[in-house]
Amino acid sequence: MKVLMIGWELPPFNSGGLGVACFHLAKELNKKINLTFVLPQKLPLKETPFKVIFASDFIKKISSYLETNYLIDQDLYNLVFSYGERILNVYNEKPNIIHGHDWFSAPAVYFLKNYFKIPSFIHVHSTEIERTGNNPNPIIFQIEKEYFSKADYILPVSHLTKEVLIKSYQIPEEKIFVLPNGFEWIKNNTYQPNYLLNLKKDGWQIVLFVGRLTLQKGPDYLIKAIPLVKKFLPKTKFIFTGSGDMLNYLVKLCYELKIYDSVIFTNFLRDEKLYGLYCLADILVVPSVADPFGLVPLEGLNYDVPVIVSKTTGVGYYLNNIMKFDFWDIKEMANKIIGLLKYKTMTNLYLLNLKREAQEKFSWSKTADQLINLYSKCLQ
Amino acid sequence: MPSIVFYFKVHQPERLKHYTVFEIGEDHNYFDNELNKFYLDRIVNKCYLPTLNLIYDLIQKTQGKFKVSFGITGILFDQLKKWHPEIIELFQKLNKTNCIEFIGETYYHSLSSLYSINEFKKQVILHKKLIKKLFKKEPKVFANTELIYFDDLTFTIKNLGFKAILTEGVSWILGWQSPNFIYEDPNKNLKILLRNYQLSDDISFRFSARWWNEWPLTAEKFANWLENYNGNSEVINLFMDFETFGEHQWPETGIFEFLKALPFEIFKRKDLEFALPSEVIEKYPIRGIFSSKKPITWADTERDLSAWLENEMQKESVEMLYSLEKKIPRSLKETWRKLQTADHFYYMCTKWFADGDVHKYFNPYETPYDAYLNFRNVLEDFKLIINDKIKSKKQ
Repeated sequence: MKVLMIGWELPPFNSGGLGVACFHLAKELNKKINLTFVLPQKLPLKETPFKVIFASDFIKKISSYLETNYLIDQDLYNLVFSYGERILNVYNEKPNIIHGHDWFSAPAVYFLKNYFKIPSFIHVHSTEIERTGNNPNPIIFQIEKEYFSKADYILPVSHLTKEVLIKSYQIPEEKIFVLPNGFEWIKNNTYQPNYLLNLKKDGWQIVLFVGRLTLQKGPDYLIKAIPLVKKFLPKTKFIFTGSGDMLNYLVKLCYELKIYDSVIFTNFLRDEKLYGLYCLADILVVPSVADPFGLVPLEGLNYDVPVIVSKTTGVGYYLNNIMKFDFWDIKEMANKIIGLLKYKTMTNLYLLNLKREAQEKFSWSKTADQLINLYSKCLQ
Repeated sequence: MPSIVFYFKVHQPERLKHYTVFEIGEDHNYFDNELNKFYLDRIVNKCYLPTLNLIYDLIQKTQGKFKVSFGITGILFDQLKKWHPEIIELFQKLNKTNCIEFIGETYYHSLSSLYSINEFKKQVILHKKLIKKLFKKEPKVFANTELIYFDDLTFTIKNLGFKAILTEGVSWILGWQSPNFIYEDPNKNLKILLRNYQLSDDISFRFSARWWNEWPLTAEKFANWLENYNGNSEVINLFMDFETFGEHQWPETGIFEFLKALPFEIFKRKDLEFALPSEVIEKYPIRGIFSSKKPITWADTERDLSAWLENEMQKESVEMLYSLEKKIPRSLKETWRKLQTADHFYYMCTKWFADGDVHKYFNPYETPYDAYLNFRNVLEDFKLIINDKIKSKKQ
């Protein structure tokens, strides 16, 4: 079985979870089927465990598309709509299946599906509706709506996204197959700064947020919960890791709430610096307003930090053990944070059972097997 | 002539309200009246009312040959008194037929027998007094919370005036022996009636199970099975939650039709009868010793306490609660006892994946950790008010 997979980014040139998800999925698929992964333009990638080709030389820095919610300039537009044709310049054997990721690959998927006359899959890691809190960029929304409905199969990463696809995009339910992300349960090197190590030695506890500082991820709700937590546990620091258009507002909010002493903004961190924070944190809070899947909770569990999530975080759907709250319910969020910082009997048992469950449910080889099953079925 | 003994456990806990850390020191009312009334309304309409009326009818139609026993917790009576006194009246009406028997219980459906014999005795006596007040009868047969049994408890129960105890017919204790006889404990304190789990679960558990090769279960079929015990059994104990009728098994499953037809199918067959626990312990001789040093229960497949007391959250909160015993001022005793209800610890059970479906039943919490957090917050406040009372007394 020959599969052409159309991507947008791969680590370390990624802006978020999408590139990571693509990387692991492609790696596992490549063990069992013949896979070619294509990127829109040349990037200085090191060796990859699967075959990567580039549709053209470097054109434009595009890694920030996720952060500029309301900007889709002519260059980006052209890049998206010329993608399919450019792929043909570098790839001309006929695959059995074409599989794209998210909206920017969708026009290319449609173009190649027609060219090769083969079944097409679009993997939806998030929709514009979810990324923007139901305030979509109309151009992107239109591209999604049109090209998703032209694909043969739609693979959302969670049931939450499936519902959005049905409701807001009118995609017929029988075309949709939920394919949850996997996870690689391997601990990497970590860097733990002395400043934080010393704080911990002095008896401070750390609450961690990891994610883009945008509406979708709900960092403002966690900030609003901080005064409540401090009232019970004054020796608590809150670390916000990530960058985004909400930073200025959040800083202002901290000032208004008089909690600027308790909050640290680290900007976007990756690799050992990020993993080090997971190790140092006492609890990871994911207050997303809408998060189709959310790899952050699993990353946290990988480094043994107990995690709580909003009910609108997709990964929560799959984990029976996970504690959830409504993202707007600041009091309940604070209650759970305090509980987990205070009642360690519960915290230890919670982490143990939750991590065990997550490890059982999320692995990339499992996800890849599910996908290969789907491929085979549609080729029959 | 085997006697069929029905025992229905009738219980609803007083569930806690959503109680966050921010309520500690501020709000000393822990129970969710609205939620408890909501569950009670539902269970009254779906189960208590129709089933009790049906049982009354059956007693009338069989001229008193249909008999059943009830184990009703005090904490349920308290709620019925508040919101559904008509159910208490219905029990009183049934009581006048002399075809029902009330079994002794712990008033608060507590695990006190494992933590404080003193407290256990008090709760059993409280329950006894309540039954006496409402029904002018004194229970002679005892059933501990979730049918908990261990040998060392029998002496205490005997001294509380009971002649027999109900518990689970655990197969690995019985070995080749049958649960369908009267047993006694090794110290000869009490007679023991053992639940026939196969036949009990056929009704309470498998009745509507389409995967079961005996589905659908009819009264005729069930009566035939019972008839087969003729000649090798003396007492067949069918013990189950009363909610089996109308709640665990919905009316659509035909459970009420089953119950309606059962007495008449039984009487069609020779040598089968219904009897009350206090009757069978007089009627039949003791046929063997039943012994368990470790506590057994009727729960799950393990028949042990693991649904209540397996993980650290459960153990810690139970132990914390009972460690307060000596400090509790009189005015807080009732609250302390209501917190002892086993259901609070059941909600903290983490054995979700095997027995999960049953455990989720009527469970107001999303996860066992939420249950612990809520209970623990309440306990923190409770400890505060106890200390306040002690301080103000000293001054």
